Order: sequence, then structure tokens, then C-alpha cells
Amino acid sequence: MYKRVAILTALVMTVAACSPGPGAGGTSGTGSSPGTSPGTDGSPATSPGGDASPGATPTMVVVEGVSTPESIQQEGTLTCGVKFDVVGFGFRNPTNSEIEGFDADICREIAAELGVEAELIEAVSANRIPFLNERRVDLVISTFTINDERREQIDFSRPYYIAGQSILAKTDNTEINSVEDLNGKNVCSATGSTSETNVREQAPEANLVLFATYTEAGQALDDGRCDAVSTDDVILFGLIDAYPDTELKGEPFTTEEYGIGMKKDSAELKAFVDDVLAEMDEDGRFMELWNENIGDYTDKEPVLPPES
Amino acid sequence: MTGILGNPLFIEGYLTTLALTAGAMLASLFIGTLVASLRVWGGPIMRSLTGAYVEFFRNTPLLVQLLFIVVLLAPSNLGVTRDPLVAALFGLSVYTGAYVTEVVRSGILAVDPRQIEAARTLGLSQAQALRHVVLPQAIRTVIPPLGNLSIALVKNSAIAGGIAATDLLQVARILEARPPFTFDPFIAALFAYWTITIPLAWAVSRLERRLAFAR
Amino acid sequence: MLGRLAAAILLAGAVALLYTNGFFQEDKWGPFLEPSTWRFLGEGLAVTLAIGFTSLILSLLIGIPLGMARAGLKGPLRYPIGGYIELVRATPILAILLVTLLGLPRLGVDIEPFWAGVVALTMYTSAVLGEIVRAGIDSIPRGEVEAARSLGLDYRHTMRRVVLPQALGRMTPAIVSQLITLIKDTSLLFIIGVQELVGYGRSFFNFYGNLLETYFVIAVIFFLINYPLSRLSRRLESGRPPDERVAVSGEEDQVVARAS
Repeated sequence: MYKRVAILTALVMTVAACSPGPGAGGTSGTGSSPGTSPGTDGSPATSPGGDASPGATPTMVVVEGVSTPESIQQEGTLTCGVKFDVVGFGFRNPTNSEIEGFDADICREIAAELGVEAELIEAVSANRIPFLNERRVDLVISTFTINDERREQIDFSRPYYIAGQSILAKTDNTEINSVEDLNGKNVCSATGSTSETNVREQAPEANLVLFATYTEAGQALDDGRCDAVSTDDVILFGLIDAYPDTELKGEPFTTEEYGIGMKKDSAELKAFVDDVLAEMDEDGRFMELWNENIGDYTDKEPVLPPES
Repeated sequence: MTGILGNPLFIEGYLTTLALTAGAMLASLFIGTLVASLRVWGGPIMRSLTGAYVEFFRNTPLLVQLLFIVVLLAPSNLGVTRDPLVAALFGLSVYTGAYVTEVVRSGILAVDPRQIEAARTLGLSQAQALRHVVLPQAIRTVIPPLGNLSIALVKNSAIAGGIAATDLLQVARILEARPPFTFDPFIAALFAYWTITIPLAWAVSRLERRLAFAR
Repeated sequence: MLGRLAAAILLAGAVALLYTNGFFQEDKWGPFLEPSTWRFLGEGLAVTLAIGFTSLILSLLIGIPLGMARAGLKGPLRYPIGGYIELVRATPILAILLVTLLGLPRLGVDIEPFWAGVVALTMYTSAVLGEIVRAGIDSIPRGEVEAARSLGLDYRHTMRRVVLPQALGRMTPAIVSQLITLIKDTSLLFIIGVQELVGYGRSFFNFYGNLLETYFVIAVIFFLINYPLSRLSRRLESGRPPDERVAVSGEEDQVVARAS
């Protein structure tokens, strides 16, 4: 019997040795990002928000033409892709099915400026660029991190939020105030996230406890198995929502800029959107929406970041 | 591929799995023998209570048990430990212990009580009878099933990753998600598991044949 | 009987004691009195059972031919089949699950968590069932097979009329035991994001804040499904002499069938 095993093992070994190298096939997302936790019935579901997934998804369909302020006004609707499961930015309220959040509200403001209705549809991370290319949406306001790779495929507005990896700990924990303080402590995060890598780099003596989802990490913080949870502050907002006796500690130690995504060569629309954002900042609407949606979770200044 | 096998985290995961398996096996032997004795020689009440333990832990998923135990033992509840490995050891021991109980029990019951009687009439005390008559025979009945349980235990230890214990499989997940994002860590983990389960299975089947032959 | 009654009274007393000392908090256990809770958990349970039975059927469809092939073949094909079965059975099922979910996309196969789960569970269960079938067939004394052959029956008829009918009866307790394992293993699927009973349970306690109580209730639900199955398995097996019992190595629920 064991002869068979040996033969088969040898076969498997040869196959494995000849297997293609690094991540053949664009990242499907499940391999290198933590699983999304269930978003049914009122759970404060958290999903990887401003992700920095390596490799953009190859787009299949590209529809001709771009949206412009006129075309949108003619249609009568501004369609935006937003997240439905990120507390504070794009979140579907289970009790009334309303989409709440900073991103959602910005879409509504832009629509109001155009004098049209706002339509919000769900854009999960993998769909953001395809939806733009298919012209299924006019704008993507979905905790969308600006980076060079994406710039090659789509256009971005000026940044409207600076996210960063932060630390969440119990409010009465006075020992943790910066990333260095994480050394020697139990830090929870999710397997396969850039967050995990960043902590290892900046606090090599930290004891990383890795779960499949951030919801579990939050649970472990709550019952004392972890001293802190570290990931993008945007995701941490959702955890603060679920566990009110926690707060963000110290400054973010990485930075990522969120921008509004548009189809490539949308110069007119970009100019319009950038103007609206600047106006909102000047007349206080920006600050108002900020405070309403994420003011409780963060001490950051409610101002529009400078153009990059 | 060879890089993975030399990776200190990988080696740590492998050793953790070995330690977890060995530790849980020992603990479950202890628990199982204890509960089995209670089951065989305790009164009817004890039989029912131990029966409830056995049936409950055998018919519910190990993962659910671990998820429960790890939070129960956490600082904000019983405050026993915050180390998921300890919780996993605990959970695996209690789970496997339920199975060991039944194995030991049938081992004890397999020995004809008349042999104990005969031993007593020959002048041996109860304790001596147990040690020299019951035990040797019971052990022969019990070793193959225990061997099988240990194989099952090695496989079940992989579930410890579900509560974030850094065992072999969890390490594979961690490594796979780091650059260069190859699948090698999982292949390596499969081989690593096979280096434990396959020799174990071979040993158990050899043992079974020898014991059956000796009968 | 009396022992069980007394034990039940003892337990009830312990529960009452805990209750009066404030252990069973209203807000933690209260949600379980709502009908909406059971509708919600029922959905999760439906998914669990669907996965379990789909996997069982598929595993039987794959495992039975596999086992028959292994029992019957003399030629070189016996090695790869046997080797495959032994290798799969020597692997933790969670490892198979993760390899399926994370490995297939790298080979260009796009698979969603639900089907990755079904594939993984089926792969493992069919291997075990294959072993059960083989053991069942091999447990039929050679004398009977030879007698059938000398009476002029060919391989197919020998199998159909002589070997399989007897083997099937012997295999059933082991198959039921494996079903118990299968149902328990569906709980692993929440790790890859499949919304079955445990996944629903987690949404539930995230909303109500009663993690320990919810996990306990979920465990009870699993118990209520698996315990009758284990009684069934034992009853099916009780009539048989020891040498007719079929069980395979390396599975804890199979060990039970063997030892008792």
C-alpha cells in the first residue's frame, strides 16, 4: 500500500516543482486579502477598505466615450459606485436599506450641484475599474486608493481623504500610543493583509495574532486576547462602532490617498468634480459631511487634502 | 520550495503542530482513562453524566468548540489564557478525550470479568488483578484505536488555525500571502503533514497486524 | 433509566442554581426566544444541510466506483487509485479546503467559496467512502467469490448478486458515521466565507453581543442532528459479529464504530 503512496507523492512533487512561479493569474483577491465577513442583518461587517491589492484586474469591456457634466445632466442621474459594507464611508443600513457614509454623501452633493438625482450602486474592490470602463457608473467613490498603477487605467479626482494604517486599542489602555509601543504586545490583524506586513516592519517585536477577518480581530481585542488591532483606519472605524470602548491611538503610520475614480480621459468631469470638492471645503459642507459620518471615529482635521 | 522548508516560521509551525498533537494526545489519554473509569465503575448517575460529555463532544464540530473555548478562556471571561495555542490544546484534548473515553471503556469491558474473579481467588488483590490481568489485555485492545485517534488528531490540529494559533497550516496561509505570493507554502505544508500522518498510519497498521496475529 | 433520570435532575438543579446566581442574563439569552432568530438560524442550517447532502451524494457517486475499482483491480491502476486515496485521507480537511480555494484560481479556474467548499468536502469524503467500500467488499470471504465463480457467474454478476448486497449492509454503519463527520466539517466553511450555520451565527452574535451563548446554541443544533445519526449507526451495527464490521482507520468517528 505504501508503495502507492510513495509513487503518488513523487508525482505530486514533480508537479509542484514545475508549477508556475509567483501568483500566476491576476490576484483573485481571495488569496491575498482577508475574507469579507458576513454583512447580513445588522452586523457591523468590515471588509478590506482602501486596499492596496497588487495588480489591477484586467478589464474586459471598454465602452466608448466618457461622461461629462452635460451628458449626466441629460441623463438626469449621476450613478456612483460606492461600498455597501464600510462603516462611515459606504454602508447599507440594515434597518432602512439606506446607503450612508462619507462617500455616499459626496456623491449626493455632486449630484445636487449638477441638478440631478444620485443613484448609488455597490462597487466592491474588484469591480471598481471594470464598472468605469463599462460605463456602468459615472464615478467611483469607494475608499479608492490613488496609486500609479491605477492612474494608468483611469483618472482620479484630487484626493478627498487621507487614510492610513492605525492602531486600535481599548480606551483605558494608556500603554499604547504609537506603533513602537506595539513591540512585545499582542497585535491582531488579518492574514494576508498589507497591514500585517507594515506592523512587522515597524514593530518587529510585536506578537502578531492573525485571523481570517477583522471582525474576529475586533472580538479578540474586546475579550482581551489582543492588546491592539492594526489596519487601515477606515476599517477600524467599523470596529469602534461595534466596540465603543475602543479608540484610535497615535497617528497613522502609513498614508494612502482616496480619490474619486473616473473613466480615462474624463478631463471635463474631473475639473468639475475637483471644483465641487474645493467649493465644499470652502463653504463648510465638506466639514459637515465629515463630522456627520466619521467625526466620531477620528481626530483628524476635517479638511480637504491638497492636490497631489 | 526549499526556501520555505528552511523558513524559521515554517519550522516553528511544524513543531507547533507536533507539540499540539503530542500534548493533546497525552492529555486526552488522561482525561479519557479517567472518564472511562468513572463510566465503567461509577454509579448510574455518573454513567449518564459522562455519557452526556462523550456524546456532546463527539457530535458537535471541533471548530465550534474551539471558538467557544478560546473566548471562554480569554481575559474578559475566565481569564485563563490569551494564548490561542493553549486554548487549542485544551479544546483538542477535551474533544479527543471524548473519543478516548469510549475506546478505553470498551477496552476495559472487553476483558472477561471472570478473569478478575479467577485472579482474586488466586490471591491477588483488586489492584494487582487490575494491573496484571486486566491492563495487559485492555491495552492490546485499545492500542490500535488509539493509534487511529492520534492520526485523526494530527489532522484535527490543523483546525487550531481557525482561532489564530500559529500551527503548520496557519503558517502556510501567512506565508502564501506574503511576497512572492507563490503557492509553495501550501504544497510544503501538505508534505509536512504527510511526513507525520503517513508514517503514523503505517505504524498503526503494522501494530494492528501484529496484535491480531498474536491473538 | 433511573440513573438517567437522576442525572437529568442534577443537571436541571445546576442550571437553576446558575440562573438564580445571575448566569443566564436576559439580554444574552433573550434573543433565542424570538421567532425571528430561529428563522434566521434556520436559513444557515438549511445551507449547512444542503452542503452536507450534496457532498454526500457526490461522494457516494465518486467513492463507490473508486472503492470497487480498488477492490477489484489487480493491475497497475490499483497503485494510483490507492495512492490517491491514502494521500487524500492523510491530509487535514481544512488544508484541502484552503488548497482548493486558493490553488484553483492559480490554475485559471475561477471558483467561488461555496463550490470550493463542496469540492473539498467531496474530495475528502469520497476518498474515505472509497476506503469503506473497498473494506466492505474485501470483507466478503474469498470462498464465496470462488464459489460464485465456479458456478459460472462472471465478475459483474458475482459483484451484483453475491458481493455487493452483503457488503452494502456491512458498510452502512460506517457510511452513516462518515455523514456525521461530514456535517461537522461543514462548519469549517465559514473560514472561507461560506454563509452556513456558523457564518449566520457570527452575524447573529455580532448584532446581539452574545458570542458564547450563540456558539453554545449552534453546538446544540449540530448535536440534535448528529446524535440521532450516531444512534442509528450503532443500531445498524449492533446485530453484526465483529468480523463483519467495516470501519476505516484514521477517522475519529470511524474509530467509534470499530471499538464499541
